[in-house]
Amino acid sequence: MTWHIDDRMLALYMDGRMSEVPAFSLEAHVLACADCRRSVTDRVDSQRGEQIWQGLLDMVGQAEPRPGERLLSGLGVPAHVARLLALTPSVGLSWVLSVMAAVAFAVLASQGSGGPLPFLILAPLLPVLGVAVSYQRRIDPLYEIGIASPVGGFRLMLMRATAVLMVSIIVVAVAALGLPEIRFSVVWLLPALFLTVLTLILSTVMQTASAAGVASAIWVGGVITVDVIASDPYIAFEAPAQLVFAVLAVLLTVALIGRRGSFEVI
Amino acid sequence: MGMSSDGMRDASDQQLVFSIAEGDAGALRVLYERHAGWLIARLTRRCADQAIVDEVVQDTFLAVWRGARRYRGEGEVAAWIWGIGIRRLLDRFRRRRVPEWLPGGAGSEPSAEELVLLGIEHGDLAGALDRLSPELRSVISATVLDGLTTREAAALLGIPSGTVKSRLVRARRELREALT
Repeated sequence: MTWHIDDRMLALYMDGRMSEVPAFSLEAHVLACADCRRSVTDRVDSQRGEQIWQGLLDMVGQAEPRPGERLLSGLGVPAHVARLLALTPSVGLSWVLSVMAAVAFAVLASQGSGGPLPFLILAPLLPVLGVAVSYQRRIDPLYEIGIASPVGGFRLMLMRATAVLMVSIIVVAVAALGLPEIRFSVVWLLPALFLTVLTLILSTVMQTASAAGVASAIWVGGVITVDVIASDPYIAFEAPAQLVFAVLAVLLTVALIGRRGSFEVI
Repeated sequence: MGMSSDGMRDASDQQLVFSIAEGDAGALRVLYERHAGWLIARLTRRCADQAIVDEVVQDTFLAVWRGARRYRGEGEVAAWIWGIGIRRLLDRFRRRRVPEWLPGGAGSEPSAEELVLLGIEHGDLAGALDRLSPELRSVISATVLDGLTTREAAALLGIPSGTVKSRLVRARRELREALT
């Protein structure tokens, strides 16, 4: 390359006195020319560069991305989203392990004479608990960042709730293969969706933990009530009830979108 | 650690990035010495707040350190670094929700001196760019020069994506007419 930045241009550029078009040329050239990069660098305060480097060194030494974060990035999830999700407490390994343990006990309990009822009652509650854990302010390492992040409260909440739902569904669906009757391995899905959205919408007016508690109580109470009235707890899992759960889930989702603003504030 | 930093002085930028991908902090140091300076200067033209520029430079090289594996070995490393840097700066602006973007240079009219300096090689293009309205020029600057996508440029300039697209079309047409 024969065209190079001379001292007069460099002085104009570094002082911020160069107008747009010449600066276009200079900047395009700097990307392509190591010699001119050196000339620009020579004009930058080297002490300032050294200070930034010291700060950088501290960060280089620690805080590598977590394995979960790297896995998500590898799957094509943008880095900042991967970080938010990897730091969602309820997508962490310990939470997944507890869900596995709980659901394994429920499947075991469902092998007995009582039928799959323990599993069917517990399974829809797992994503609800996951959502509650993922928004506990005290234990959320990203709570402050979440509020301040460019992703925004509502989108962040949706991303996390989706992640929690997906993880729960995979874990529970695998466990459900151990049930004596295969038809029971899918009927918990719509109740789970309904209860998760219910928890989210309740969390706009109360603490997330309380919201999860109320949703759980409604669920367990509802199944027991149905059992008492109709003396058949499984009515809650048959086709008409499934339709009701689906309609409720849709209605609550619409309501949730209407209340999206309440996720943007602290 | 691989080679010492001294052994790195002659390495190409690409080789440095590959060493960084293997966790070589010495290579990061050499790359930093080569590229931090111009990055500071170029970001300073877009953001007057020195503290923000410093943070963005730090973020950028941290991203280089952690993301070196994603460098495909094609094109100038400097361009890759700029692509990271400008997006980090953009993130800062979005987070603050207060645009502190400096559109263009201090003086809107190029001085006679600058025109002479550029005239030799860039005469027509420089003149044509200068005759663009500031709105069209800022769109060209954000997309062509800074390498932002339409959506990113829209966020940066605070205008809808559709407006960015239509302004780009108009700017290109005006430039083509001026240069032919």
